[in-house]
Amino acid sequence: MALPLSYSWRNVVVRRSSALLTMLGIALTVAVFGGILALREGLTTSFEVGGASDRAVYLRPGAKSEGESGIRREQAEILIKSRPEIVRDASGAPLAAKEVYLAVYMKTLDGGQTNVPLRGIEPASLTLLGDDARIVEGRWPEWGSDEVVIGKPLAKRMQNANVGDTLTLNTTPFKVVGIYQCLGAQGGEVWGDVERMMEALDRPFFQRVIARVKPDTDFDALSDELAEDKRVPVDVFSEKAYMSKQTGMSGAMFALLAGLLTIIMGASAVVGAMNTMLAAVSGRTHEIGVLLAIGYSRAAIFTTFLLESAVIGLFGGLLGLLLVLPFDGMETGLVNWDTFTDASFALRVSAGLAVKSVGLAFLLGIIGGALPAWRASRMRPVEALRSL
Amino acid sequence: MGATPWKLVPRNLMAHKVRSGLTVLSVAIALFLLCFLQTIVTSLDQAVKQADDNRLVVQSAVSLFVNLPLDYQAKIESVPGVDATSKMTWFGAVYQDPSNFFAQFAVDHERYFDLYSKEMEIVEGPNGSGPGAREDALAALAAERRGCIIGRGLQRDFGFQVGDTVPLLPSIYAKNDGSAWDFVVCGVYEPLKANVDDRTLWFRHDYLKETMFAQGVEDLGVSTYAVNLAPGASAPAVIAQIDGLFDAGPQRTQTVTEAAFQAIFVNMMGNLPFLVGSVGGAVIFALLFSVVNTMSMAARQRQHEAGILKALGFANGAVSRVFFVESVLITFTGGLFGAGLALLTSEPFRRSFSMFPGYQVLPATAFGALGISLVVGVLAGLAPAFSAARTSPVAALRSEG
Repeated sequence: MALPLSYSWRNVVVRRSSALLTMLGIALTVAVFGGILALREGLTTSFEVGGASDRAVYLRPGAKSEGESGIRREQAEILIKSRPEIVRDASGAPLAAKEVYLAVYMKTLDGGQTNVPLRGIEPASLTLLGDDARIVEGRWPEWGSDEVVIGKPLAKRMQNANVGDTLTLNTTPFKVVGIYQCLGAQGGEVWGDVERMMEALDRPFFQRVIARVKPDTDFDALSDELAEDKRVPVDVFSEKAYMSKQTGMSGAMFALLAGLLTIIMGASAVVGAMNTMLAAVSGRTHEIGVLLAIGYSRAAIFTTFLLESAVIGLFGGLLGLLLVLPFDGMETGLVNWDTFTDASFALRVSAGLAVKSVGLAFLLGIIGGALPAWRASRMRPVEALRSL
Repeated sequence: MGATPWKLVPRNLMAHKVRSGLTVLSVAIALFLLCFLQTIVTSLDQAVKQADDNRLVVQSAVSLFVNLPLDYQAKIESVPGVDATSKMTWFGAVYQDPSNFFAQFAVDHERYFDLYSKEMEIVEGPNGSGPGAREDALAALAAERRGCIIGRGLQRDFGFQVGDTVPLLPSIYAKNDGSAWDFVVCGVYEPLKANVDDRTLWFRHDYLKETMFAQGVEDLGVSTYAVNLAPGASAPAVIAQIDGLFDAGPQRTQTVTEAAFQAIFVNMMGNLPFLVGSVGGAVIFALLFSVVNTMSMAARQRQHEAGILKALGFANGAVSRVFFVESVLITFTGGLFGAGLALLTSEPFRRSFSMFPGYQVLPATAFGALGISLVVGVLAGLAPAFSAARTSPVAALRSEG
């Protein structure tokens, strides 16, 4: 026969100050775990949401990111004209753009210096993005002139990044004429006419070709086919796959950090839970004796004390979640290690993360309660009854 | 001050071995973590602080990824106050797998190791280590176009030996035939300063330049130029002169001291001190909650005992002092273990965290942790000390304990 759940609950309430302190310890562990994973999730989500599966990214073979890529003008033009998978518009023009990409230095408002992605775009780049990108202040740059638009999160964090400011690229001044918003990681870049940027920055190559491809394109087969192509050797990825690869190293680092800190802080929290439960068990020795004497099984005693610890863990987890939730949506920026450029994104506490956090707390409670519960269940009724 | 039953302190601690042990353990874990976090911040600071004041870095004003023209070197050397320069180009290739990350730079092989003689020492050449190793290694490097000098850490981690050929897969400097770049190990260096990475491969810039030229890349350029100042030269003046030379292009430069260059990278890691500070704060509070909890429980269980002591005539203060000293003793012991562990693991951690080559637990960090353990012990000891003092002997004796 099992003891009712209310018995465990009442015990937590009776020892509320000690239970509360243990809950707080567990809550802080969960908050650190959840906070770091919210950073990771925000970063990876910001890259993933912008990636479409019907847009293809062509890079130089072997390049892991745009920064390492380089495609000659003639190659880019042959590629755009000749590839059958690229969709054409009503007038028969391929829906593809040659783009230049460079991480440039910009000064942050607090005086630091960071790498910001600069992208030279063509009219087709905007056609490809469609509703994903729009102007929120000012206007798009005029093609052929020295004008740029800046992503909204950057405009808020960088010096010289608002409409009317002048951004000097090497020796050429570019006028900031607009602030744009764009889904995903491309929302935090500086955009201008690709030809003007190539000239101002003396860049001989394009970094990528981006194109809308037919919906049934098999990227694996396409990739194999292009690897064999002698005229234009390129690597191809769906934009979605490309984007999710751009946070691999940073994502792994955050996961490692969260894991490491959780193990260490978790160990400390488990010790706290164990101490609380040991005291609870020794304080209730007489009571345990009574329970055993009236016929409750050892398993029932074990379960009830374990449950009590789990309840403490669960509430600690919920408390920790309350500490983490305010960070959801908070905008921040840090250098993405894969691209070595500043990434602007919002922290994200998803339902999955919330469940993981509370689950972790529950687990900490169970681990901490196991030894004390076992000790309680092994008591000899006669001796336990004798103790006062 | 009346008599205090000090003998009770060790007795009590030993009577609850499990609880005392667990508490010491949790304090030790938390303080070890604090030392670790603090060291990440201090090691980054050290990288900036230990940078050579007499070294400048000339880089593009536009981007870390834009190369400077090759003809800049002679112009930089013509500036008064410049002693010597070397090209330094980031190669960014991979040994077998991206997870084997280490840095490689193409440098002027005849000058580079003189320029950095205060930072590193070549300790092994083709004829083994010992005196003359440096000369042997540099002679071998001069004779072998594909030659390179590697750090002791690379030798340790990948087993590269002098004479071995190391193939690296390029991601920036691709070869037309898609093959790897081969490098021949001519020597091994050891860092002389904590902020110098022992996992770097230095190779000949002319090998890079000529190979790329053969593939049709005419002006390869240089990532940065390292500049040593002549004795007595003023860094700001030289910086202004160098940047003035190239103000009208073709590539504007941003010349900075080595410290400022390191600081750019530290800043790029984002608000790391804030992140570390938040986590550290959470750790301290979690620890405080845990220890306060334990001490309060211990006090509650010993109300009966406190009553007996008072009934025997011991003053209020005596009972409080016993609790207080117990608390501080427990946390201080934990602090000793935690800080000690952090100090002991400093060297192995430095080896395994290639991201933080300067990882070194400073004495100040360890003492700081000990200080925190004392403060936590004092705070945790206050609550039960007060409640013990307030307990009336009659009520306490009646309690079941």
